[in-house]
Amino acid sequence: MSKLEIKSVSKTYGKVENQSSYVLKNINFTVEEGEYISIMGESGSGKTTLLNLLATLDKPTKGSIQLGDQSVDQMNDSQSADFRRDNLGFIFQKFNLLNIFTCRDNILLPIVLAKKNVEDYTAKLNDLSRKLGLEDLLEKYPYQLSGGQQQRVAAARALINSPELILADEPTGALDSSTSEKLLDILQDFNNSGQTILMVTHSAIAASHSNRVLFIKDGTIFNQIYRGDMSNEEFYTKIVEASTLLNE
Amino acid sequence: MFLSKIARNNIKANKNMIIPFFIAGSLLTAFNFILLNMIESNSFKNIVSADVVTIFLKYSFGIILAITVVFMFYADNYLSQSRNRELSLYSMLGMNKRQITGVITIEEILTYIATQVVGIFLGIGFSKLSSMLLFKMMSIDMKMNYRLSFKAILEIIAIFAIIYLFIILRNSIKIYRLNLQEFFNSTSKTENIKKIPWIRGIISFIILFTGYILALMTKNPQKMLPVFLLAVGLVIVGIFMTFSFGSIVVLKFLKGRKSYYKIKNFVMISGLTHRLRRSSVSLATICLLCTATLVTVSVTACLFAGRNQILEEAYPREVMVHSDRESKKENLSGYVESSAKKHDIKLKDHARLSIDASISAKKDENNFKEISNPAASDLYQFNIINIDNYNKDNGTNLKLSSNKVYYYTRNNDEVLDKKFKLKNNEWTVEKQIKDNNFLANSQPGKTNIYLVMNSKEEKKYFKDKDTFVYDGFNIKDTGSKKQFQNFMDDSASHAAGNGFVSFAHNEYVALNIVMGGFLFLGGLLAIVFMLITALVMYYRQLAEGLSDRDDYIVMNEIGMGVSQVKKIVQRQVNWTSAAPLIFSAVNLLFAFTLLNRLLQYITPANPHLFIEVTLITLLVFAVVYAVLSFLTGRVYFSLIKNNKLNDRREG
Ligand SMILES: Nc1ncnc2c1ncn2[C@@H]1O[C@H](COP(=O)(O)OP(=O)(O)OP(=O)(O)O)[C@@H](O)[C@H]1O
Ligand SMILES: [Mg+2]
Repeated sequence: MSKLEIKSVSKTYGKVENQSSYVLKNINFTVEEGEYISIMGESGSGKTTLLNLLATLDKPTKGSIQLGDQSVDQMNDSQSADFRRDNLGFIFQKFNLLNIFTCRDNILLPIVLAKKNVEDYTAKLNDLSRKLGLEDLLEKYPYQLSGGQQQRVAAARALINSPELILADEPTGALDSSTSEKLLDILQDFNNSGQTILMVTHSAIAASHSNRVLFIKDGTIFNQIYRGDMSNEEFYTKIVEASTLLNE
Repeated sequence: MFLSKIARNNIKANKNMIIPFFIAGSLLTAFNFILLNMIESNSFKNIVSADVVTIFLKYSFGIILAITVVFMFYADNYLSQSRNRELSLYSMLGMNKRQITGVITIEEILTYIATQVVGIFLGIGFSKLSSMLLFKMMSIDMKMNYRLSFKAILEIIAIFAIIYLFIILRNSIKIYRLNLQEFFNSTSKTENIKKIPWIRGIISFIILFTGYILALMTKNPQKMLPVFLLAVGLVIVGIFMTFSFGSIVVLKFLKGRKSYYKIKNFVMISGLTHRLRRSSVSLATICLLCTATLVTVSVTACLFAGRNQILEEAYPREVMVHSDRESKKENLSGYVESSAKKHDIKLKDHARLSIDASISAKKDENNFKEISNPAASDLYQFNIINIDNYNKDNGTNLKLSSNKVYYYTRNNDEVLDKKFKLKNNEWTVEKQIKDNNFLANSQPGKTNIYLVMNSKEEKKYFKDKDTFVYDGFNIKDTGSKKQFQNFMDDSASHAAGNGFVSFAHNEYVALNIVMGGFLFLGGLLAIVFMLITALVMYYRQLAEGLSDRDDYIVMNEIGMGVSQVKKIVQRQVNWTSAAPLIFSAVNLLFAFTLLNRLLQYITPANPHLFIEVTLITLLVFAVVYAVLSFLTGRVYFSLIKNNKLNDRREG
């Protein structure tokens, strides 16, 4: 069974349902367990909108979304909040860290929300902060960190709960190339150990870390390419080619 | 008029901050105007014993004006915080500081004009009404001398212009000092509490408790007012420091515990730590405002509840005749009786009390030592009654062997032990008389004891004192108003030189004027305090709601349900509301012991009454406060929710 199934999903923000007001039109795709998918497309093409639907932060106008055996689009408020808590990890373009918490507490927030015992996650926290290079930053507050450091804290928060699915919206958007390379390597590592990831990105380099790239244009899936056995570099060339095709 | 357009937009955008400010500003303008109009139009010029009320009026005006100034600055501070965030954006886009100051000044002038127009309109509307209310409360039945003072209107406009001028000045200075980066980051830093500042904590406790102890220890009535003011000052400083220290300790302790990582504690404790200084200051402010409200309300209520008792105390009978036995008594009280007959007034309940001697004494163990300084505290007033006179006056047939006494007191309090010493003689209490038709002018602020003893001992120990006789009558039928007035005039003119005749009726009029004025102003002050308390609570929640909003949105995205948010918000509100209420109750307790003594000096009315009234006040206030907290908590939640949380219903 596939991990995530998106079936003929459409979305409009307005009340008028004429064809042109649709931001997403009849989107269909599935994500298998352990897949790492990038979504690309030009600005305003509906990538964030799609991600919000998957994240249960918004609801599709038409169509259905299924994660595992749960129907995401049928949930009410408190169900969807619980669902996010139990199944999803987020890395957003803006880091969305809370200034009232130290970095440690920011990372532990999903555990506390899920009413789990924090002590059971000490090992996981230490492991993550070692991998992400956060050991010296845990007692600091987010506003004392640089953008790249904040992004890594956000990644740690997304990963601490071992979520079913990680949703990332331009996670490297605010980072320099070497810092984004580090973060992308980390995500790829996690994917290699079985983590399912869905990432929206503008960057072909970022996309080249994933296994499959979906191209969105005008609210529909225009094209998709698979990595197969290619290396990151080979896949990158392929993605750039496909992007130029998209812009014609 | 580009700037004024921005100013108007700003006002619109911050309306849930500005509307309460506008309402409060208008009401305060109105209150100030009403009082000033009463002072300026001299409404009490021709009323006897009303000059006290005019003095009260002036004091109350001073207090309310002071509160107004402090509140305006306080509330405007909140306003400018939220306003600055938007203005900083304009500044980013190239607006210079002079233009920003211009925008703010236009905004302030617009609010000034609006509050003055509405406030003075309200003030004029309610001015006549409140004057009528005041006259009614004073039970003055003559035609009210009300007029609208144009001078008062001008003065109010000028006073508020000055207040606004200073507010504008302060804001301008603030803007010139601030740099852009601070504009954006002013709210984001968590205050650092690495170490608990023990020394500061100890100092704050010392200050607070010095205030409390002063309130407890002062017994000398002449020093009470200055000591009270000093105690108030110490408690104010102490409360601010204690709240700041206390929140550090409590939060530090809570953070160290394992249960910190429970969702209900996690967010609350971190949030409070984040804005530790700001929230401890506003909690202390709320606490002090609550205390002020409570003290005003309970003193006013005590006087209101005690007003009849005060009169009863001074007038055990409606007509009191006071003379010395040897020469004039039969003459004077007899004259009053015949004068009553002449004017068709029917008297009843005649009672007489003869006091053969009286001394003030200070208690030392069971030895009472005579003392001549009447201003000393903790005094006992012994009124000595010869048993022969007692039997004659009361129609009894009591007997006493030597060195034995009967005694009685106003409220049947048991104040004497079985054996005690007075005038270096040991006396034994035979019995406390409990059913006496009490008829005496007791001395306020002292413990009044009526001591019945044998003639022989009375002559031996108190021989050089005079005998005073009190006669009292109640009135069965006052006849017509005119007849009664004639009766009063007739008796009083005859009494001149022979003693005194006084009428509860007259006293009642004077007492009503003073008490009515006091109650009116107390009530007005209480309303103002209450209003300000509510607004400060509202602003506090609003400010917290605004700064928490983004955090809760993120937490909602990560998976905190709306109902969970609501629960946490309510919990946070409950916790932070409880502290000011508890501390203000403690403050009231200490203030009460001092005020009670002060009140006892003004009136020897029953202290239990004051305790009951104060407790009821506290209870009612706690309920009102809880409702206020609940409502402001709702504001906070609705701000956070503000349709940004994920509760989109339709698909
Ligand atoms: N809340 C909203 N209300 C109305 N329209 C919206 C809303 N959010 C997005 N849109 C519109 O939907 C379209 C898609 O927006 P979306 O944010 O999904 O784009 P995107 O692909 O993420 O773009 P970018 O790469 O710039 O982030 C845009 O035309 C946008 O104007
Ligand atoms: Mg986007």
